[in-house]
Amino acid sequence: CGFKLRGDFSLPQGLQHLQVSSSLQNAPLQRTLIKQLKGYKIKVFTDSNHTQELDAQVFIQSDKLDRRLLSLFSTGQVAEYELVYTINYYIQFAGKDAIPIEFDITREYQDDPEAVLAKSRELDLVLKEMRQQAANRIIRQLANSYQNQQLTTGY
Amino acid sequence: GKEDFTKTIKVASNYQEGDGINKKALYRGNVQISQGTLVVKADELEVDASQGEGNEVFTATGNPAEYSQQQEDGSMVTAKANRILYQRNTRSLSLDGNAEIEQNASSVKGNSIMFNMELEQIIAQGNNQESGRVITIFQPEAKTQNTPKKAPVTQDENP
Amino acid sequence: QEVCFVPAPDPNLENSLLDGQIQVKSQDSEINQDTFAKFKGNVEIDSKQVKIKADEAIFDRQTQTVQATGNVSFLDQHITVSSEKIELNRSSNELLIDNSEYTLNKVQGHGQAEKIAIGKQSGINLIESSFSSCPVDNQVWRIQASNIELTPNQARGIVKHARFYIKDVPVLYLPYFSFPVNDQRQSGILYPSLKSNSATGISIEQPVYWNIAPNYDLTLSPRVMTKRGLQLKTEFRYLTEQHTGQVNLEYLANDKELADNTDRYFYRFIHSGQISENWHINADLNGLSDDNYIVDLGSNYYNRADTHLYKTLGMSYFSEDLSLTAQFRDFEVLGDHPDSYRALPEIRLDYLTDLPFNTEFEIHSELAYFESAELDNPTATRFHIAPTLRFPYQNQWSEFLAEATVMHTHYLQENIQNTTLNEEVTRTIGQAKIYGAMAFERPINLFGIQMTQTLEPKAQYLYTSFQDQSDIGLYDTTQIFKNFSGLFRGQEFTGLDRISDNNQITLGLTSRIIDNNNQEQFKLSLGQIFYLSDSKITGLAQEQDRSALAAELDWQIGSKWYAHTEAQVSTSTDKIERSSVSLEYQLSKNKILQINHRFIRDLSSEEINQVGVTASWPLSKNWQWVGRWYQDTQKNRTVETYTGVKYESCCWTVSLVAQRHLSNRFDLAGTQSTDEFESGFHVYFTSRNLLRDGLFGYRRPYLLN
Repeated sequence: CGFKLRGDFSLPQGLQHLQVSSSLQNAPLQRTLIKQLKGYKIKVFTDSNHTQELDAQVFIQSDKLDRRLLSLFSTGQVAEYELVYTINYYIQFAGKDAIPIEFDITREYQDDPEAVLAKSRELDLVLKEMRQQAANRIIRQLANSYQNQQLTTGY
Repeated sequence: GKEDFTKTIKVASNYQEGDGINKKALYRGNVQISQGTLVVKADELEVDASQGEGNEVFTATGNPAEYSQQQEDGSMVTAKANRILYQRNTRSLSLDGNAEIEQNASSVKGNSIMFNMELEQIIAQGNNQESGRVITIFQPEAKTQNTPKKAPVTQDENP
Repeated sequence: QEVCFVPAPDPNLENSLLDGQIQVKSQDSEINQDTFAKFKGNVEIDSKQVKIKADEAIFDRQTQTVQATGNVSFLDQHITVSSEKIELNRSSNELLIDNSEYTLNKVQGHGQAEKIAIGKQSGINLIESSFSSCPVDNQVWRIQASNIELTPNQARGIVKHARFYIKDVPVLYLPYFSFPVNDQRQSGILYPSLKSNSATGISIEQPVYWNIAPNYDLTLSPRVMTKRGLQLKTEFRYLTEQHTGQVNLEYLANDKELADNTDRYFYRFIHSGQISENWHINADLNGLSDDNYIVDLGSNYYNRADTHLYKTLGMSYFSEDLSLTAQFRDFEVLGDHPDSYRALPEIRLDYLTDLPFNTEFEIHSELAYFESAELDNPTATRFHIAPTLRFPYQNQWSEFLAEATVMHTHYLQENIQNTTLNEEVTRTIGQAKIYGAMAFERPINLFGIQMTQTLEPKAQYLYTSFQDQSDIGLYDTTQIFKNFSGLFRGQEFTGLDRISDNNQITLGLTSRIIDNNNQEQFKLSLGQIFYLSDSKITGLAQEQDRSALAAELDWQIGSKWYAHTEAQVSTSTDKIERSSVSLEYQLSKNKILQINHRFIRDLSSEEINQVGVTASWPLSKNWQWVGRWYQDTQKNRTVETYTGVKYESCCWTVSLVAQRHLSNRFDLAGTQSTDEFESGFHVYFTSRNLLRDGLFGYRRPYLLN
């Protein structure tokens, strides 16, 4: 039925040296992103005290977790929440100006007043998974904008 | 400085022509008038001494004719214009035709400028078109700027 | 949206001039002794940052002053002023302008001023001046103030002795307040907010902002409520190089509405700081006087439907491959629920390192002490260590992961009389996981447009050994909320007190349609778990051999329609266990209609069946309407109705909101009634996003990227 193996899942060759920094040093999202980038055999720096010529820089400005009500129990107590994890970051290619990007990751979640400690552990687990999804998304957007930037400038 | 005006005036040029009757002289070709530190350079100079000794009128033309003189405080004043008219008795210069005069703290550009060397006063007249306006530029106040010249008012240190 | 304010472009000043150099163009000029100068005839004075026009000007180099008179205009990047007389002191670089008209260039604001003083460091200082951001021809409001200060690179302007006029009627006097300067749209002075609802009666709140120092500020908001009295809300914020945080205190003395009119308070302390390159500290401490505080008085930080507040203190250390966090985790639970367990403290150490043949070795370890205020609840000290060996691999078209873990946990449990728990328990469980994913794609033609369709099958085998855990208490463990994203997690419980034994295969399939600039238009995902043997952990009743089929669909239909659905279908009973559908029609940012439906067959032994409609539509150029209606179809009653209109013009805005929703007030016994409603009418003067207001708020229903 015409399906063949996908060609461009990983990062293009031109992105070998990256700098990943964030407003709060060593922030969890920064660490998750760096760990995932290592999977692509890419040299990652966390700050600027190095002499390496960079192909691109990623600066994570903020990552905020917000909650929104989805449904109520008959008592008016919350039944389901939506966790909204909003990420603001910049991609800057060598010699270009920075591109600001914002996106959300959402998950449904349910609180339980009878087991608050256990539910807060679940929140940590879900947040960890959302961070992995966010890091994966940043890598895909990095690859996309690198290709678009190649098309537009052509070199 | 002031004592320049007591000095004799010397004029040098390639070519010279005198008109004894109406006491006029014409000099042409890199003309240079000097009187103490006062120096005027021009292509052509007409001297009208008809009003007698001390009242001569020097009309220097060039593109441009140039003037320079040292002031009491040792700083230089320079000027240039298509025509520089020096009246010895009133000790004043009148510059006409894209005239420009520069002093220590300010410089003035305009169509016609009158410089009274006695009073150290510059008066420039322009007109209302954009091209005819007078442009004055004041230099930044150097912090170590000491007392201004011959200030009639008491000394005033810079705050 | 009409264009109200366009910040003035930077004036084309004579930047060819050097710093401190001044150029004067005039018809006539006279300079005496190179010190005193007079200019006449449409004089133009230019410096690097300033341009002044006047009929006449006088320069005095001795006193270093410049005076310009006769229909004078002054222009720099920040302000444009027209007046009769200007005096500039060149040495102190201070400018004085008498009774002038001014317009701010970067911020929407103009007015008259008896005196304006502009200095390099002191900024712009308007003395005895008026200020308004309304267009000149329709000045709806203005402020008369004895002093308005706009200091450079300060985000806020300060106003002293301000009288606030609406159409020449004095409405409000404030000795001191400040407003954001860089908010170009509108110099949003902290307007009062006016509310009336069944919980507070009519309430007026006027925030006053005090900018103590560039990195400290304090906001005091006194709030008068006809039914309850005077409440004072304070918020102190600080931001230093390494530390940032805020302290909130809210206090209401003897609340008239309560029988014994007790005092009510709420406190909140948030801090996050970096002690050294690797050490962080954080705090999130909250508390309140009674369970109904938020329901009755509202809160900017918690939703009225929240079940608990956080009381956590933490410290963490991060380095390249080691992370250590130590946390005290406690909660303030609202309502009459058995007091939940607390972790005092909970220490986690994670170490990750690469091994040859690109395998990874990770140790996850924890030490925690659990206790609860319920006296007869057991307490426990738990030590857990889980070394993991992992072999991850990925390339363009596939992903593979093989992982083996040993989970060893040791418990010391006390206060366990009349329970089945043992004082000392050791549990060792092995787990193995193999996961593989591939990615296929093919070009397709959809409605004549060239697109790419992908097919991404995933499979995972998970084995976890069994050990009876009935002698272990439940401290930080409960059933995990099951949905599509949790299918591959292989964990039935949160925390560590129950580790479910598994012998299962999980299959998943995702198909996307991506347009040529790499935007997803369609994404369908299906997944299901097949249990090869029943799980023996108690409390996990599982009759059939497979989990519910989980499906998720996101679809952008054309440019205006969006659809998102999620569903879990139990394949043995073919009944839907849980589903959510939302459909949105979005013509433009302010023309939206969204319908959504949620169904859960059994959530904490209650059925959720809810329909919601949200709409936002412009009524005219300046009027926008927002409406929301949520219906609990299971009990056939309306849970929230919300309607709001917002008028927004160039210099002021007002929102009028009416809403009625289910109240979840706690009665004296700490339980919640199921048919008490609350209604309210609100007036807001600050610009407010009505779509996100109210109980349910709004969000675009899907997430394609």
